Amino acid sequence: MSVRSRLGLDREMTSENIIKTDVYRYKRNKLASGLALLGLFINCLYFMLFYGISYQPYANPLIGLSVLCNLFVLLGTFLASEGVKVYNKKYCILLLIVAIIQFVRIFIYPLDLAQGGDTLFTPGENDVVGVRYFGVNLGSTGVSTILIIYLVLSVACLLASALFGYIRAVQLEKFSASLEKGTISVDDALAELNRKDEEAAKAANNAAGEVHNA
Amino acid sequence: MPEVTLRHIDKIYDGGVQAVYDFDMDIHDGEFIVLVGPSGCGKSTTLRMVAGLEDITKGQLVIDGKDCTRLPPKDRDIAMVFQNYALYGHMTIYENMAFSLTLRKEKKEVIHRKVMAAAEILDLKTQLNKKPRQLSGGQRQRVAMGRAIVRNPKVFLFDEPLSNLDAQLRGSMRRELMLLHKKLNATIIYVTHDQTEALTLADRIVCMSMGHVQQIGRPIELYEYPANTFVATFIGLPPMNMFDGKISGGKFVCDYFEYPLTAEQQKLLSGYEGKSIILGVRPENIRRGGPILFKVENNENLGMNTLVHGKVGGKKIVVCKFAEWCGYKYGDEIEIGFEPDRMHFFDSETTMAVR
Repeated sequence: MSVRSRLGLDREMTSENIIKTDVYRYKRNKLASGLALLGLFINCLYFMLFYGISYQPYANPLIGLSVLCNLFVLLGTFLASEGVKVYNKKYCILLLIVAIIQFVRIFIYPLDLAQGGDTLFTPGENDVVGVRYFGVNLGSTGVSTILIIYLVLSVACLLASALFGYIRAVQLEKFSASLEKGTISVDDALAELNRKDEEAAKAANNAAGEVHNA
Repeated sequence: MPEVTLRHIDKIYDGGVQAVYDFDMDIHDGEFIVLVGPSGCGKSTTLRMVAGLEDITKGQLVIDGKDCTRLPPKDRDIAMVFQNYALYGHMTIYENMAFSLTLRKEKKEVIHRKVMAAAEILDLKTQLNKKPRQLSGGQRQRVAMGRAIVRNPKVFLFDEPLSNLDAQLRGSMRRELMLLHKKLNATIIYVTHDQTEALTLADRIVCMSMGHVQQIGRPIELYEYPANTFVATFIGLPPMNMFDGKISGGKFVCDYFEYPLTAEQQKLLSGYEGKSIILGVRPENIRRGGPILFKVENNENLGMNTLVHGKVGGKKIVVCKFAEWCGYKYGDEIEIGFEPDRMHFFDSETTMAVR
């Protein structure tokens, strides 16, 4: 079975699958959109912790780039979440770009903190990484661990959102094309499923009757 | 087995006000019951008690063999359609219709099939992605019905669902409701103050006044054989003309005229000789030619018939309904009489029909 089939991109249009896909025409892709928003929320947690650190060497004009990066991530993720919600597969690319940015960020400040905070900039004698986070005093190792976890989680959510967004968008696209061509029919699928249900009910009744007679 | 049984139900509010007195009836499977009456007669309260939105003070409610008197609304397997539609404005029509099933955590595919089936019945398939504000009143009401249909409940409850619609739309929705009832063969309890809706839709009508059931019966029974003066005047448009008088010497005598009775009527009213009685005659049962002088005040041509308002005996206002187009003017005098087998007599003291 190919990867495309496994992902459901080339699935056979049985009556069940037709109905499953027809739902997309009336319901928004809340799964993909929700995952993107979760990624955004985790990014917020990331910068809330990061900007709370009192570490003098980081207080230089370069921190502005980090702020800009955050703004891009917030805006991009929100836009993409709205895009994937309406099955627009182009926004999956934006989600991927944001995911890559989040991934790359792991190797800048969090990695520096994991290495004691002296790789990017040279600290002074009294410069110590420290932050009070939810009532706990954290050092450089603690901060870096949490920051990396946040970024990894954010990347995972964004990737999952992009994947689900893409799969469903492609499924809907193919479904709509087939519907327009007339190769599939929702009404026929509904009728077939209803017929199957009736047959199943009849069979169940017959079986119950036989048990009763026995 | 009756689908819904209301057994001696009373509703008394906290302040001691009694809204419903001894409501007792059996509603059969697939029956269309209409509760009709003026505002404040207790019809909506009765419906809300069936729905579980009001507590039942006394009596018993059984739905499909299950005692639901104290059961919460969600466990009664009923669906209610309100006058104001009660749709969620931020959801699409599809989501509105699917909402109750989503709460029940049914599978998406199952929900989809049920919504599509309801949309097909109600001709809403092309509207499913719209928001309620984009639909007309009639379409919104159909969505509200669709939301009830997808649940496949044991009983549908309608609380004046057509009151917000204009007259034309109300007519077409009435026809759709009739078709819907035929398609679903569902048990429906429908509340309205509009007697036209009651007469056209109902298998049986429950006519209520001041919390009391006045009469239960088929529409034709209520129209042709009203149990009392309230039902006689409430059912029928224009209402029945009522004359207070007495029986004397084989005649009905009132302040405005004397009217001879047939032998059959005399036999029926033999016990009322010299006693007060009320005579009721529907406007369409008044014919031209007879012993009563009628002075025309107003002539309303409605196309298929004419309503003629006027006075008899110089005082009593009477409405006649003639089948053809009439050209009477103010002050015209015509002689009128009543169709003998369409005259209704009511006891003055009890207001009950004499039969």
